[in-house]
Amino acid sequence: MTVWAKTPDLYTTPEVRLTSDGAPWLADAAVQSWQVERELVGSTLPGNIRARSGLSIGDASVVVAVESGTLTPWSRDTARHVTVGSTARLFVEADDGDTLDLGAWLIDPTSGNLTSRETQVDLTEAQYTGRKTPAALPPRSTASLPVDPVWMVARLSEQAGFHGAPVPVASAFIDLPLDGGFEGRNGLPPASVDGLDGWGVLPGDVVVGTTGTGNLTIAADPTAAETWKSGGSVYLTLNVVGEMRVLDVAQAWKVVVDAAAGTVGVCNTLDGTVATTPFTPGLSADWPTRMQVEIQRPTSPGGISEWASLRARARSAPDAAWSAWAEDATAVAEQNAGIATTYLLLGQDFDGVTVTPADPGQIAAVQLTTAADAALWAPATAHLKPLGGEVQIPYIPPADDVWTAVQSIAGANLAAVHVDRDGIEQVLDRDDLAGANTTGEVTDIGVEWTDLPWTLDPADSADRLEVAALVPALQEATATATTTPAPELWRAEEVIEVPAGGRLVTLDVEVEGRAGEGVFTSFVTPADLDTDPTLASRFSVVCHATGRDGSGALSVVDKFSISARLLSPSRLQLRFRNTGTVPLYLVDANGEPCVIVRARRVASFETPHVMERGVPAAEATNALSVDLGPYVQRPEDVESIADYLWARVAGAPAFKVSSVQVRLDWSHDIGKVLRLVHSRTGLEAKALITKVAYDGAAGEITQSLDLVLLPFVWRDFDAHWSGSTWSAFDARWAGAQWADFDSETY
Amino acid sequence: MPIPAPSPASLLGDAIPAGSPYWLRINGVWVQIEGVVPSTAVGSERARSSVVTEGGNRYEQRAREVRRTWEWSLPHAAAPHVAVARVAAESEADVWLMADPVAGLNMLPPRSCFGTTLPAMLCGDVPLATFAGGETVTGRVRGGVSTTLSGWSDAAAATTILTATYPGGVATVAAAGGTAQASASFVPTTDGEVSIVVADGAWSTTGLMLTEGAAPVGWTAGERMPCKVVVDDPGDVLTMFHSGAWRHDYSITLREIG
Repeated sequence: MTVWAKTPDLYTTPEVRLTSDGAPWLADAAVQSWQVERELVGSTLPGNIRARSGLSIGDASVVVAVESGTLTPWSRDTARHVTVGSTARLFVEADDGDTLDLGAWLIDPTSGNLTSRETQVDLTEAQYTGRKTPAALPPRSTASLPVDPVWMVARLSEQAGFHGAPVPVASAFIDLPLDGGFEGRNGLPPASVDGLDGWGVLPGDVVVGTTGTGNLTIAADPTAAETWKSGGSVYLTLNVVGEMRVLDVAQAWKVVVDAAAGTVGVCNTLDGTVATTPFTPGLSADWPTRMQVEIQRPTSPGGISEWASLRARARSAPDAAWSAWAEDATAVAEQNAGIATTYLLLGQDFDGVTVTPADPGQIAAVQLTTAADAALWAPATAHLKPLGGEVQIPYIPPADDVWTAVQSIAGANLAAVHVDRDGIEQVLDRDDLAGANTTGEVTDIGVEWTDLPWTLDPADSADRLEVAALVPALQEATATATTTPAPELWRAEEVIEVPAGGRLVTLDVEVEGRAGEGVFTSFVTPADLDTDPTLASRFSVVCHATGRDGSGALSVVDKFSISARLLSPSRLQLRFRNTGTVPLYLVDANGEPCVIVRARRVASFETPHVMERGVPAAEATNALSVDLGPYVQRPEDVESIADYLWARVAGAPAFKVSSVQVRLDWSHDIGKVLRLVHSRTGLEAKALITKVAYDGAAGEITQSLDLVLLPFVWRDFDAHWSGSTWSAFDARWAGAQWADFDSETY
Repeated sequence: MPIPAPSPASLLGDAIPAGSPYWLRINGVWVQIEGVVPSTAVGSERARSSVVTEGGNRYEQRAREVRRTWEWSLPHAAAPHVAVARVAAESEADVWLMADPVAGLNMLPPRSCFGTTLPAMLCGDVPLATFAGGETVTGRVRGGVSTTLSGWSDAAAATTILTATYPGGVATVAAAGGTAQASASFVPTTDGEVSIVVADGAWSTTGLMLTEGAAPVGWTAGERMPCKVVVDDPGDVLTMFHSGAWRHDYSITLREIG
């Protein structure tokens, strides 16, 4: 097993290979030279605050040759017929067959010529495919709670194929990823919450979960678990730290799982004795805190046919053996004896569960399924972290594609998202980018780096900071309230013609600057308004006429239908059908367009909320403006971001290091923190790698890094003094002056 | 004194031939190339690079394989002397080179003669790292020529330490007892690859040699023969012209490929 780390003083360069399942012409091609560049880009990275924000997408270029003949796009030999667009894998292969991926790639423009065997293959990182998908956030249920911004990142990442919680499965009737929000996936019901309020990463895992003292209640669709009524099983799969209690919503039975003690227990009544059996937690390498509980109602073995006891068993890995059944023996005995005190009625619905973690506990990635699907254990392809703050109404500009939206949300929250070499999406939150989570790997510049080119730019500091965010103005009403008009989401500006013939016509509309939740799907027409004029301000409205100027019949009720739904908070889809013989125009009696869509909640993002730090605008010589967009919605979150930025730009700027060639170390990757030391010049600094570039040919692989400097944080001070007590610290400086402390020579 | 024209090659000859040490395999037949003067430059190329850090530390990188170049010089030669080389220069099929000095010592690729496990074993005068059991090493042999495979091992006497699968059969090398060299000879029926498997067991084996003829005493490094080469079109200086007695100084460059 090769350890991909710092290379030895004499290093025999390993082979680099480019393979692609969709490109057979690469199978025989040998790599002659290669270049890879991956960069972490973010407008609020320390030292890069004034840098233009871009997307973190790597690129690579490889020159290949085949031994026999030339690669051409017109070759009839499949081994030499060049094709582009497929996914490719560029990796380094060591002697023992172990490989190190240099990223996940797509084959981009490829070029060559007839006089040389060299063919140049340009590659771009595979998450670029997300750019072709319009971003969409799923619709949320009524009375939705605010979410952590990482919930939006998680939903968008799923569109691009990166999953933080295990993928949704078809047999699920409850699916709560709990990655920043309490919503269900795939239209499944959300959880209601009592007491659980924090978001954190579960220890040993990389999934975001909820923390605190309280419980989650999830009401299930009663028809979803039909098999449970007649003796089948439901499977509860989730990540949990500590003990967890699962209670029937109707409070008839409970299952208790203790991950710390390794037991699963069941009780047929709410308050009775819990009968437990042991199981081994933490067996899954991909998910150390995940477990699966099978809750079964076996049909009565004898006695009264409509009674059944309850039993449960657990396991912590898909290939681990199930524990023994935990069964309430008293209930079984009574049931067999015909004593009806502790039984469950067969045919009783599975109404839902209340999950209560221990005090305090953490739960994440809750899925209730009717089958023990292996996909419930699929390893995560995204490592997410809470970004902090609360988003009241998740909103993304309608024209954004998936990857742009993800990076905009991360950037506004001072975080960065990139896809690492193994193709796993990584989130670096504010603390990671500040170097607060590590003291960094010690790197002696004299020994490891060829040089240290530094740049000190006064533009990296500022004497005035303005942070602007679009705080939403929220309007909310329900249609039943006769006195409160429902907010308007969108109204037609142009006349819409619906052709005759009964074909379904779809119109996708982008709503700029507004987000809607709970759009009213049905529309009122002028005929309805005759009976109750207040309907016009409480529901969506449509008028239709046979004449474009509003003449002709105003209401052709049985020939026209319209419905509306939200594809995303800012993208609306209208569907029309006209089964008549003449086309209809959606205009009112005056010929003005008349389609008004209302929603239960509409947030408009028009008013910027601005935080200022530093000198007034009139006196500022080096002002810095940062726009957080609609992604940061609470004034207190804007304030904390302003404080964080101000601490980094006020005062003297820190130097930046760009493009330094270093001794080849395979473990260098973007997001890694180094602690730079140089004895000759007295340098001691922490830096974050923001770009890694490789240039490889026969016998030569050069590696260059770009870094930004990080300020020292408490963790560094603490690590330096680790093991010391205050007395030791005090004694060390006894009799010293401030100047001695400051000079570090005392 | 006129130089005799080259004699036709003998495919099945066993004795190590006198004269030029070089043989080329053209269209499946080995031909001895006469007329090459003894002072032939053999260059070696291995891609390498070095990085010097700010503090003066130097780190070297190098490619795994080394490739050689031969510069042949045939002075006062006639056209028939370079007939084979010209065919080789035009050939679309593979051309192989064999050099007798290497054939008589060790034909295996340089890295295939020893393993990476320490402690080292003394093979003749050279301490070599040993193989982990089960490793496979590949060499090339010529058809019809008696070839010997040998290696050093500290296994008990009569234990099979090496198994060679060659064109036409399988040969095994049994240990001699103590830490000593053991060998076995075989005659391949055709040109081809020989696959040598180092047996797995509670002993160490290293110091492999693949030799045409008898195994030498003491270990010498492998030099990867026969090897595939590309032959450049011969350079020509016409030095003597008299009808019927043209003489040229030819220079031919061969580069190892693959």
